Amino acid sequence: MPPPPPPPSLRDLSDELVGEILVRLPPDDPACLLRASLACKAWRCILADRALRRRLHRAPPVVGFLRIGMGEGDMRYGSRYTPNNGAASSRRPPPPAAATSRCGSLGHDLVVWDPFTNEHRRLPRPSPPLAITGRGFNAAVLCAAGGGGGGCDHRSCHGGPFLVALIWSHSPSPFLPHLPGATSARVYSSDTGEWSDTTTVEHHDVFYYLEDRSPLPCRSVLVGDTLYFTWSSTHAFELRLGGGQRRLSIVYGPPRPLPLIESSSPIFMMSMGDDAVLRCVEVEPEDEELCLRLRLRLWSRNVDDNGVAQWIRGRAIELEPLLPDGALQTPWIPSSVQLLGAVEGTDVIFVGTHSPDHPAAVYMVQLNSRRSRKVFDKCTSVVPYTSFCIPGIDDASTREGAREGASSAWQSQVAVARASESIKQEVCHSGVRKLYASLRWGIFIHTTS
Amino acid sequence: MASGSGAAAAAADAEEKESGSRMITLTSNEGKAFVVTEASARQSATIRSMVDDGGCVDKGFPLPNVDSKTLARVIQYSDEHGNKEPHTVDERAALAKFDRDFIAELDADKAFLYDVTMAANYLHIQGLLALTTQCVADTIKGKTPEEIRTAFGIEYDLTAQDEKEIKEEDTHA
Repeated sequence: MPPPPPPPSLRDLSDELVGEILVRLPPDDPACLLRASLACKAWRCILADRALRRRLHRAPPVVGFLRIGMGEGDMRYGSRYTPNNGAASSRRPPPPAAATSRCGSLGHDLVVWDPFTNEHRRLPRPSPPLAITGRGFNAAVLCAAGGGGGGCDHRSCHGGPFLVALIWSHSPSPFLPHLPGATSARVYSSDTGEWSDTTTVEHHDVFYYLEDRSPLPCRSVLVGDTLYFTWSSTHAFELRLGGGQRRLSIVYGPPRPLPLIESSSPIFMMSMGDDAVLRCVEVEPEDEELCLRLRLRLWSRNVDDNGVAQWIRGRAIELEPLLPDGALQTPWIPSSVQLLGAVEGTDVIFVGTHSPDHPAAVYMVQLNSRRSRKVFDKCTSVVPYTSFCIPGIDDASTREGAREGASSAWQSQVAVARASESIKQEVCHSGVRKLYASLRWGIFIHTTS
Repeated sequence: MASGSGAAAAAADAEEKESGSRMITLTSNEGKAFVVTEASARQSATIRSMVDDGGCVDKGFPLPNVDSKTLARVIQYSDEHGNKEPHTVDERAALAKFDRDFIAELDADKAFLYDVTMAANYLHIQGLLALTTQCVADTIKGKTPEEIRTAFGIEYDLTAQDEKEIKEEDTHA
């Protein structure tokens, strides 16, 4: 019998055409791209080409998740980073620093951590030391390239400057929320190595969320050059980063169904696309009395020429068709469905379910295409980590000089977390912020005593 | 003035109508002529620009890089997409089904699939190029480097040092 004919070869195709093919590989699977780059030298060069990579990543793909411990099994005492492709093992955040401050005093070490590469970088402590009440703090890491106000596309900001925005609340006593309190913010610049002056806003009634009622971390979202920190079931803080003067103020969320306010579930803010509009998503029952059919309600915050803001009620998305049968508990109780995270600038959110009749899970939901897939078997808070980088390809090609400069471009989300005063590394708090090439860092706040 | 511009618009309309119904001859590298509607031919950005630039429509367009078998298949795609503009959900579904069947048939004959891919690239037919390149990319997904080389007849040309370096760097993926 004659031997089978050799397979038709792709050699006849030009590099350009092979590039057209490789650009259609799944961008959220670095392992697949790496395997393709190991096929031959030509493919490796093609995949390392910057122009192709710009096309490959129209939006930064989600390459992994940081899950925040919420008291389930192994997750109980810490966060864990898990790659999206499931090919590699997960990793834990760095341990808290050794106790450095004297017994009885409170110190905070801020460490920016990159869950992808496990690099971490300790920031200088703000001076004077922060006076934080309860769990009332959060931080965010931002790319400072392009002015720091979202002027960078994060494709070539690797190694560039970054900002860390820190926000914290202080009140006379966490047990006396009726007394006036205040919330402050400072911004660290890696360029200067210094913290900005403090901006403070006073308030009376935003402590719902600060009293450890909710196990969920609060979240932040960047819209244009303004950073929003979720703070309670009704409020958020707005930190304007643009211009010379950084200013902190309070914004109110859209009108919410009463059960959500009573449950203290924080406002779920997100940004979609580049339109510089703050959006909110809520879970709402179609029938408020029976709480049967659930849907996601989108809101957008419009600001008119006079600076007056108004929440505009947007479209509704039926939740049941997005999830497996039985995943939603009916009648609805708010804790049975939780919005756990979002991929900034996209329509992707993470929905967790806790129904007694169905295994708890986290689903990644694309709001526009209405597609979803299960990403975890437990309902834990999720910080999606997006990146432009393909390890192995970027590093190798940079060494070969095949690309201009050492610019593997990254974009990722940052976890902001605090290890508790005990040695258990319990991560109590997390926020989400962009973290890029430069800022391939998460941020941790370690309390030592 | 107004009537003048109205007349010009009417003339342009008439020309548009006429051009929509024109037939265009495409000639393969074997000299075989294929007569297609202009709407079908305009699926190709290459031909579209030649027509719009006042190319000689009557004499037809020789395509020295495309053989008859490949051209026939490309025209099958262009006819379907150029001659029928889908308006309803059903029509769009029918076109999507055509694409699926079209690519499934091509996928069974890889050498022909690559020929059609090259023709789609040469003729700049974006829809067809997207269809064929996605089909090839789907074949790559999930394969090991060795399987990729086998499937595509690629010679192994990485040095042991290359592989070692790449794998050493790949501590994060």
